[in-house]
Amino acid sequence: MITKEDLKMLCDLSRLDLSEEELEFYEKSMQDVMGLMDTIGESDFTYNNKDMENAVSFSELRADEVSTYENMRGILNNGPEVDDDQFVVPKVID
Amino acid sequence: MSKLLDLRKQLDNKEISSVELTKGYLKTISEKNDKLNAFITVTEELALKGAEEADRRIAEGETAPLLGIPLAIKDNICIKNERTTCASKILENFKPTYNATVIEKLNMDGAVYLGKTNMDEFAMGGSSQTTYFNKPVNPYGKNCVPGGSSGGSAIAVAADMCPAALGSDTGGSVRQPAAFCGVTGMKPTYGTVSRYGLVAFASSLDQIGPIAESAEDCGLILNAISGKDAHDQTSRNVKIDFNGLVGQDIKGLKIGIPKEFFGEGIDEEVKDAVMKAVDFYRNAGCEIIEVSMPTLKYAVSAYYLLACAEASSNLARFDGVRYGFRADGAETYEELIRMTRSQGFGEEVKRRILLGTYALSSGYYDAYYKKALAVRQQFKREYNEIFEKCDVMLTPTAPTVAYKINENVDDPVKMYLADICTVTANIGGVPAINTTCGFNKDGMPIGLSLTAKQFDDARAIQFADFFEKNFKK
Repeated sequence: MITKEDLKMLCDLSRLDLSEEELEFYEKSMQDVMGLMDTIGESDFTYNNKDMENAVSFSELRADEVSTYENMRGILNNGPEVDDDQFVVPKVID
Repeated sequence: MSKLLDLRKQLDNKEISSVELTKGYLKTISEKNDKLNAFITVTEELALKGAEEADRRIAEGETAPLLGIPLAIKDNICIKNERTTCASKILENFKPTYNATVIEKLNMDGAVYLGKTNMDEFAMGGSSQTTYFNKPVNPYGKNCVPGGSSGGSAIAVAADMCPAALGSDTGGSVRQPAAFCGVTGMKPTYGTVSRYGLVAFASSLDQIGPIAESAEDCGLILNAISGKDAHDQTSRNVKIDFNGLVGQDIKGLKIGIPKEFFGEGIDEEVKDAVMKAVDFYRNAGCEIIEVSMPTLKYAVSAYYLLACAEASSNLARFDGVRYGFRADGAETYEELIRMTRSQGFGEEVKRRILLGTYALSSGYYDAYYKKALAVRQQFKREYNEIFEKCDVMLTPTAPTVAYKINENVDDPVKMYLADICTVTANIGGVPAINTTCGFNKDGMPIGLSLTAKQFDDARAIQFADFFEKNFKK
């Protein structure tokens, strides 16, 4: 059962802020959803990390080569707040 | 003749120009989009520029399957300098600086882009109603949802706003809206199409796929967009001719019917229509055999645990710093991220981030995420067993036809359970195609799904194509 305290911890981990009203909404909603997710506990399969079938197949890894990206200005233009060639954020240290 | 082949012939014979064709579709979009909300962005300038370039290439004697053909693109696939929103407030004004690999490949062919289609926010949903933008509507009327998450692409094809479209399929998001809107949609084998430039939801499950009027048209598009890509390490170096078996006789081939897909929760009219299709294949000389997927009862929970765990990690990049929406008034860096994400994501996206974070968090990882990985391994075993006995597996695409708008919105569990027929193909990485097998008493389309073993995509297309060309609905 997911409690409001659990939900607050998940919000911290997820970098989300929920109002008291939202917390109550998601507490109920997540309890319903986790009821469905809990059915997986009834399965008796064990994960085999040596099973090559389990992982995404990284068929042909390419060489890790540095290349120059030509459109740095385009990337910076997508920033909500930019100063010259830097993204601006609120101060990180006091 | 399929729609795309017919258009190809008309373009090559100069019966119509790409500009004329494109203007025709743009006109239809302008007439219908206010009601159907299939498109978030109509890229008229890009479309006409692409059409002019295609006409120039055609005039020089060039031809390619999609040269000059207008397409619609789901709004989570990047087209350089064109708004790509993922139907989210957090990316409302985002313009990518690069093309997705599928767009680069379509550019080589000379395809034309009409616009970006509506969807569930970040592809999280089965109704397209979690979009931040205007809610898309099923073109069959009855005030029904178009399905999702690629609902806009399915509407656009069904309402003749484009001849074909691209969607993405993480748990059924191409096949289910195709079923709800009465068109054909295919999720190819995982790894056949590059995911580079597809905004990630759940990377081990996501796959781009076509929505079109026919299986053969889906094959044409897949031939154009598939192939190994250095930008996507999960793309596979396997050459498939997706239409390589079209027209070949299906007599003597085996169809597996997994009984678990026809149990509780499957609407009777859906079941009847799908079983009529089974009779059709039997009469065409196929051998019908019963197969079993006993793990199906864990499919929805395994899928949501895996998908949401991956989503919680993939969506961590949306922080209001480098692109997209930024909340006003934050005084610290931490506050900026939290306020941006809280105001930028919608209700369903937040729920899935929370669920995924829970499944990955200390103390719960083994019970949820690792257990889901174990179930995934079991699904692969069961698929292997099934395809040792048959060539394709036939099931309903969805338990019901399209339901009413606003129905189920307050019941996420009901919404998640509705994915039961489609999620296993993503979990197993196998190809699956939806085609229409009938209509219910209210005239709403019913979809059937044909699933094949990995890299046997051409087999699924062969069966769907045969059905479309010979079954009388």
